[in-house]
Amino acid sequence: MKPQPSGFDRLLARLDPDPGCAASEFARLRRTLVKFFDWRGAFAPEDAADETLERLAGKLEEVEVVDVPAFAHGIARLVLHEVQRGESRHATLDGVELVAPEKEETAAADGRLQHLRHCLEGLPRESRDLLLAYYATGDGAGKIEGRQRLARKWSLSPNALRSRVQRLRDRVEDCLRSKDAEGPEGGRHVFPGRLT
Amino acid sequence: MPDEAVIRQYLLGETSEEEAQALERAYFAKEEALDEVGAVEADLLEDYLAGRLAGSSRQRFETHYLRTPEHRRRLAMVRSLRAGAATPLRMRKVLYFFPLAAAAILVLAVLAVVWALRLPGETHLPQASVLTLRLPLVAVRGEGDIPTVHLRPGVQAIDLALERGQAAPPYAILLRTVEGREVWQGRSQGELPVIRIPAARLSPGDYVVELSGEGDAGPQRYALRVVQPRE
Repeated sequence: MKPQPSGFDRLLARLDPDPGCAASEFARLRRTLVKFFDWRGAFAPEDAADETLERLAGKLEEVEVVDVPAFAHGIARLVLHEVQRGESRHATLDGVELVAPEKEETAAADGRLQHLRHCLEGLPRESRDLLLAYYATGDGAGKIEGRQRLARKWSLSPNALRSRVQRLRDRVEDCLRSKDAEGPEGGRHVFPGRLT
Repeated sequence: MPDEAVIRQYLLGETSEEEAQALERAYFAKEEALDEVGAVEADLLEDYLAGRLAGSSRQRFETHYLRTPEHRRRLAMVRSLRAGAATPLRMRKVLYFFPLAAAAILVLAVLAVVWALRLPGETHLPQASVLTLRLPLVAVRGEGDIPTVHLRPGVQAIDLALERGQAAPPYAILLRTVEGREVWQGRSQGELPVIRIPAARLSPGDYVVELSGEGDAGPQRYALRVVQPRE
């Protein structure tokens, strides 16, 4: 569901008068909403985020809003309640998913692994190297030291490294989601935007 | 920046509504806070995969966090990333030692032929074997102490001897991956819950065993890890 143009334009203008900045602020707000619904356990976080943005755009025509992200949070909480009420009615359907035939599931898992490979190939090389190097530090005592060394190599603070890897993971996850939507024959995903 | 312990509780659904809202206000206001929650989530996933989550946190992770398909997919992705990150290094080592390995294989092949000629008529079959593993209840398991099966060549079945706990026979037993995929289910009629699972049904990864007994309120859970040593 897409917001109506007038409300959507108003939302962009409220986020930032500069159209370029408004677009990135909008992307940031949407990402925050998706994360909110995801961490609160909604089964379709993206749909819930879009529903929230549509309502937010509509509300901006009716009321004066000082803090748009805080207002969006309030609307998101209402949407979450509605979503959770709906999901509780479908709880038994989730159980059915768990007992799907094993062969089919194994094939799906193989497909997902292939998708992951494609998604990693779609990342800029530096980003891919960073992501894999981050996980190559292992689990033992050397993990912290290894990640500190990686941060120094990339001239980042340890926290900045974590954040960068976190965003890369998000990008891979977005790619995987779109691959799943495409089906098993999806092509190579090319990531838009800059290296994060 | 929000407190890491509070973020972990938030992700496991253990905060009060007030605490949850305070954290959300922080990450709606500042992108750094949003990234921090994401990074703590990633640490949580890694801790789970490394067996570093203590009993109650691990149980909460499985029953609350892994409830959604998105989170199960995320866990699978991190597991694959960890596995994928480890592979290139090993591959580089393999390539480095390839000429030496090729020579060693040639020597071994010659020795094998000589050995076969010395023992005419004797057949060498890989020995069939059954591994037995005792699984304690998740609630009493210590941190980082996941019972692990090493699927070596020749292993044909695994006997899992489950701690009985409060359950009473007959038992219904379900084995599933931590992502929720059912792998095997069966029944055990004996006094103690013991099940045999064909090794072919298992692939490397983390599993949850659920045991339900006669008249139980809910299943008892056990953690199991399967690894495949490289030949």
